[in-house]
Amino acid sequence: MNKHSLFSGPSITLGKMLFWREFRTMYRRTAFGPLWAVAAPVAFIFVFIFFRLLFGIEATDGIPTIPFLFSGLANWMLFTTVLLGTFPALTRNVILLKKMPINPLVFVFSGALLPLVTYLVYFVVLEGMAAFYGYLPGVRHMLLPLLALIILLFSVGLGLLVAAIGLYKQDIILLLPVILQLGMFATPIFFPKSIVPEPLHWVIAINPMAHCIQMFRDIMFFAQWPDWLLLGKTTLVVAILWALALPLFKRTTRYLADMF
Amino acid sequence: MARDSIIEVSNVWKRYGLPPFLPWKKRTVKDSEWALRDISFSVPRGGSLGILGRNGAGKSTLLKVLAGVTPPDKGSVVISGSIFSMIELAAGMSMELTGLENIQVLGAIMGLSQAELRKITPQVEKFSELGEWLAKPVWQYSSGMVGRLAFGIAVNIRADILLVDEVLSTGDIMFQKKCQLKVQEVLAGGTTLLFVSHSPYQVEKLCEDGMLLEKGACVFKGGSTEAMREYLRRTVSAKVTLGKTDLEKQMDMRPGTGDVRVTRCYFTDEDGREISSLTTGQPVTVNIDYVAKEDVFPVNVSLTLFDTSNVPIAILSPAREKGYTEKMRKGNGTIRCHIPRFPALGMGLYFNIRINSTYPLDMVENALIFDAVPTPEIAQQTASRGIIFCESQWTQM
Repeated sequence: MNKHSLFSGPSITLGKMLFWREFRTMYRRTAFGPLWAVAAPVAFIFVFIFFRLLFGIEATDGIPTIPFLFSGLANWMLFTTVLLGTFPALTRNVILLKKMPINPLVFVFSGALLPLVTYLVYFVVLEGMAAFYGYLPGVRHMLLPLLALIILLFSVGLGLLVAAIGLYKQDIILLLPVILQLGMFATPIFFPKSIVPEPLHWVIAINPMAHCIQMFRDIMFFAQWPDWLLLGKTTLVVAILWALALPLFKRTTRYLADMF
Repeated sequence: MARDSIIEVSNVWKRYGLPPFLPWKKRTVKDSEWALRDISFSVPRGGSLGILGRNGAGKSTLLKVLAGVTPPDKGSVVISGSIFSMIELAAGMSMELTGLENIQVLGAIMGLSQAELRKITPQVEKFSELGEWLAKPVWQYSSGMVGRLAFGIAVNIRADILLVDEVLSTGDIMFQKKCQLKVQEVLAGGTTLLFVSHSPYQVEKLCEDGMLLEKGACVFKGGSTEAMREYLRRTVSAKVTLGKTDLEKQMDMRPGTGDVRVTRCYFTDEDGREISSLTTGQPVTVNIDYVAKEDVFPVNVSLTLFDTSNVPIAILSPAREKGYTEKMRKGNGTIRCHIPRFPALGMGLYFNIRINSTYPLDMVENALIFDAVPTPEIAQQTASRGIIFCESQWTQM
């Protein structure tokens, strides 16, 4: 059957329509509207400060506390919102899939666009914040969008894998928020990597998000080029993830209309 | 001239469910799990095929496979043209979008350009009769309005193939008429139609060809009139035994006080011999055996004749004919109703019996299920179509 390919006209038009639909209905029937986009990070930053007091963490690798927390948080939130949104993006649109042959990747990508827009807002705020503290944007900041792209691809790839497995048994879908909650403590978001004790370094080493956030801070606050080897390794991990997840996703989502 | 085929289905098998998680494992399939078994057919460009079958025969599954929303397990489906499926009309509508936005979305999925979308929007507006409602979100619509909008989009998008699943019964009667006319108009314009229905008459009306599915397998392929007959023959023959045997058994479950109960009913011909099928235009007597627990007066017995689609086509009652009611004596008895020329034809007709006093005594549904076969002359006059045979004399000035 000739399902539209992802880059064909109809798929792109549909993707755009879906995105606008989500965009317009995102804050519908809420009292505070887009203010909610601000509320979440502000609340998190308060929680982080509380944690830091609780655990007696003072180190920030020399970065002012608020930009330090927010730089970790913005990237982490991009990762989790995209990942958590992948499976619902499919189930939400399954009525369209039941009617016409549509490439399900359209739903995944159009669903990932909204967190990306939020991220862009955060990014601008973050650059402003950094500039306020004297970390002026430089040439190296051109690499930041590339990092955001790597994070995006990582979370979408993981989302595809989770969705493909989740179609068989939904346990992983229920488990995912819990795993991500724990992941927040295994990633240097509200604490710097430097205070992680030696025996636990491997947790950071196998965590691509830890590397991404590390590189992000290196570029933004220390005007350094990122550790190229680390960047290469992270990209490779994302590539391997996609090589695994995409075929599996394609195979199982052919039957998506049967399952819901 | 042979027309090229727009739909080519060969040896399609389908079962629901995911393939095994590990690709090297073979999936074992119980025979009963197949929703479609070995279906092959082709539809010529501009043709129309009606798919008949009882619930669970695989009709909707077949349409889904054709629409490409679910893959077949074996076999191939080749479609050379664009498809618009009207499976579950409301599906594909986004409830939080307005009617106009929904036209855009569905149009976009169908691959219409912006210019084409601008062209069809007023057409849909006009056809759906929704007026200013189109600017409101669809969740505020009544289900009939959703149906009208969906139908309006479907017929105006001008796909090469329309897949239609029981949706001609959307909206009120006037709108239904409009839909049918529109579908016929679209067909005349060269669109290919695949139509699924429980109503064999609708299939016969709209389609050239018919196909009959049973338990996922194709059991008949041919003209739509023949398919309709075959469908009626198969579904009705399953019913006939039910009507005959259960009459006495279900006695206590029937409504009415039960002072009088029908125990058996049957047809007899002129000579009093019991017959199992009627001949249109010939005399017949309906015999109703009953048992009365006590004397009852007044009594009014009536028969209602229904066609296969459960439409009452005639009510037979002595009270209406002679203006009086009879007395029933305690014990067993038989009421006879003589019909000098039985007027109906077709398969799966049935009688309901009602015995009333000032209150209901007994009501028998599907008391007699039967076929009425036209005599050769009548068959010739009516082409074996219609429900009622109407005698007519023709002259030419």
